Amino acid sequence: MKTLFNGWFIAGCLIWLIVQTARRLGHPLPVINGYINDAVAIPVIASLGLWFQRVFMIKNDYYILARWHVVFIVAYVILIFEILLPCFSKTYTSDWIDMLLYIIGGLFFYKVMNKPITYKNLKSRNIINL
Amino acid sequence: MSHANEIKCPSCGKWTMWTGRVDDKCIDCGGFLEPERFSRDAEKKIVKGRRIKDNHYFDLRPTDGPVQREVKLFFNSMLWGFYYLEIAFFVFMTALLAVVGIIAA
Ligand SMILES: [Zn+2]
Repeated sequence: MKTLFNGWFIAGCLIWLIVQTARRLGHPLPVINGYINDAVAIPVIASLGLWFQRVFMIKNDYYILARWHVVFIVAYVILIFEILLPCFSKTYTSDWIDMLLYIIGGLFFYKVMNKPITYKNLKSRNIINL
Repeated sequence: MSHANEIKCPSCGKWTMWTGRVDDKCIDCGGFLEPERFSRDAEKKIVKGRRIKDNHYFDLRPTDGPVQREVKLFFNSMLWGFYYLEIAFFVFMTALLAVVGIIAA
């Protein structure tokens, strides 16, 4: 579970929840509504993927995702949310800015969040000293 | 003497010894110096163990012809070997995206 105690991951989930709640309540947040979710989507999804690999497959907290794993997630999300769903549903629309945000999210995850869990890492993320 | 180099630890940024082994660790924080290489190595080890264990998905029989034998060996390694981890990962991702899609709809 340590994988998911990452500040970036928690922040991403919170942002997603707030945007989602605001939308449901009928007060969609301006600008943020459309784009912030796309920006946090890949880091959140990739973190869950990393957690899954660490806990069930590799069983090691030092494990990090391969570059192609991240590329795959970005491509897969773009395929589903920007290409397939817009064909079948009116709620989803395709947008090149979305795609760009997914790619930026993927790069951010790979460079910043895809790190082995070590004691020092936990400490620097304020997890141990909480 | 092994060829030790000083490199910066990727997890704490301090200078540490690096001998080129896959499991080299930082003397300061104990983190692996090459997490990427370590991770791919860990994947390979699991795949290898599984390949030996589940080698009999298709049983090889003495009556099998050479082609049949090759095909069976090929599928044995395909099904339970290299793609096992990736398929599990793929299935997990698909389930996750389905859930996200349902909530967001
Ligand atoms: Zn270190």
